[in-house]
Amino acid sequence: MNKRWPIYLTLLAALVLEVIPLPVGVNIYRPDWLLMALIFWNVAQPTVINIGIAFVCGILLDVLLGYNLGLHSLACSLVMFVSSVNYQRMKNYSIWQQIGVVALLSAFFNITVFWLQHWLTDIFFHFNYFWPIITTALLWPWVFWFLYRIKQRYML
Amino acid sequence: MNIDKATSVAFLTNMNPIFKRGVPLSIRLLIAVIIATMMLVADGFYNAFQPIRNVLNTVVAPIQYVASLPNILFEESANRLKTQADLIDERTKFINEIMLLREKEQRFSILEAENQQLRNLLDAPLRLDLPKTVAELMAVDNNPFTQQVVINKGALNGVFTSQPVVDDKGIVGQVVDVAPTNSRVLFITDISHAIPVRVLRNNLRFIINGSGDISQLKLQYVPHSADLEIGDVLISSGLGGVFPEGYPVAVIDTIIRDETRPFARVVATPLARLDSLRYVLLLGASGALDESEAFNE
Repeated sequence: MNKRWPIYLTLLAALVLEVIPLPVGVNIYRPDWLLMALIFWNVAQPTVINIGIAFVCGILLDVLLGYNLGLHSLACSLVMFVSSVNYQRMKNYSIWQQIGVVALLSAFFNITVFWLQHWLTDIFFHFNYFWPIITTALLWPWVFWFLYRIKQRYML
Repeated sequence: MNIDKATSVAFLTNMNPIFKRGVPLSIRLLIAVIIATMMLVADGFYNAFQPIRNVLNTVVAPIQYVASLPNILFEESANRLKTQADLIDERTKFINEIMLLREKEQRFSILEAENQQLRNLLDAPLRLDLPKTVAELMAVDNNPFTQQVVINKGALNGVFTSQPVVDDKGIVGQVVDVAPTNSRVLFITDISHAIPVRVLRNNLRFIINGSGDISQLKLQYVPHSADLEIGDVLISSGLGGVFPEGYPVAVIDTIIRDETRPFARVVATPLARLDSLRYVLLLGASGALDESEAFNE
């Protein structure tokens, strides 16, 4: 636990980034920061960052953004399951392949969130809800680089 | 033998982590999915998680504070960089506004006293002056599917769930979640929000629903024969027990009387400037409403 504080700190930073105000018009492109951090740490430390942590982070995100409790925790847990099962493969992928995988995971995440929200309150399909998939994929190399530096620096 | 055991233990501790995971992943996922679904149903359909929500809101309050820090800093530096000329301009504007409002208030206080006396004569309940708190919007982003904002006053400032919130033009919404230092306000335009209103001109009563669009409200169950006109002002009727009576809510924008449908389609525009909100007013304890009712009995 003591040695792992950078992991939790980056997850916390991801949560802050999820609610930090962006200019109107830009905020529909907000990437899934938390999802990226969770995927990275899951691949790097599959025993530490797992479905449990993803669940807790999801609840915090729900409360932060004012969703129904459990919405993001369900979506995060599902994505984390897929990522945990395939983490060995993910480790060996090149960064371009990783972008594809992250885009798929992000699509899965966003579609789950949309579907749950549709079930709870009748929202309509709008393409704007799915911009985060593209921005998440595009930002993955930088996030990966940054988190990898942290991982090396603190020898996690 | 002993050495063998030692090496095997050493091997075990260095073993690939995949073999010492404990609970299998699929079981973990199953538990997570079950708990999350239960929470979704309990929270989404029955509002059973309000106390837990409030605790969790307390936990995430620091995150919200950190997220709003850049905005606070920008604002602070913008305030410091204002020129004297700007400030003087602003000051003269405020002085003008205060003069105008004071003049209005003179007339209003006389009318209020008169109204109070008349109400006394009629044995009608007196209208109590509600305590008010000013709050500022916090710069944090929200769920794009609902219409809500976070304000910088919380339980420590006496904010409570379902407290009515107004701005200088009309009703904004009500408080849904309370944390010690901030709270979440649901707009009247949210799809899940409804508020009982009456028409200022002829006291017809309706229920007005949010549409999910920040500039539209929908009047429900309006008969085709209802005497409504475009431009009619709707004020809160106080019937729901949440909002005090007599605050402006919306202006009727369009009326479509399509006889093939059971009800007329009436759309209203909220009077509060929901899209450019900065400061809001929290109207004190709803207990005041009950007191006025008790007075009647």
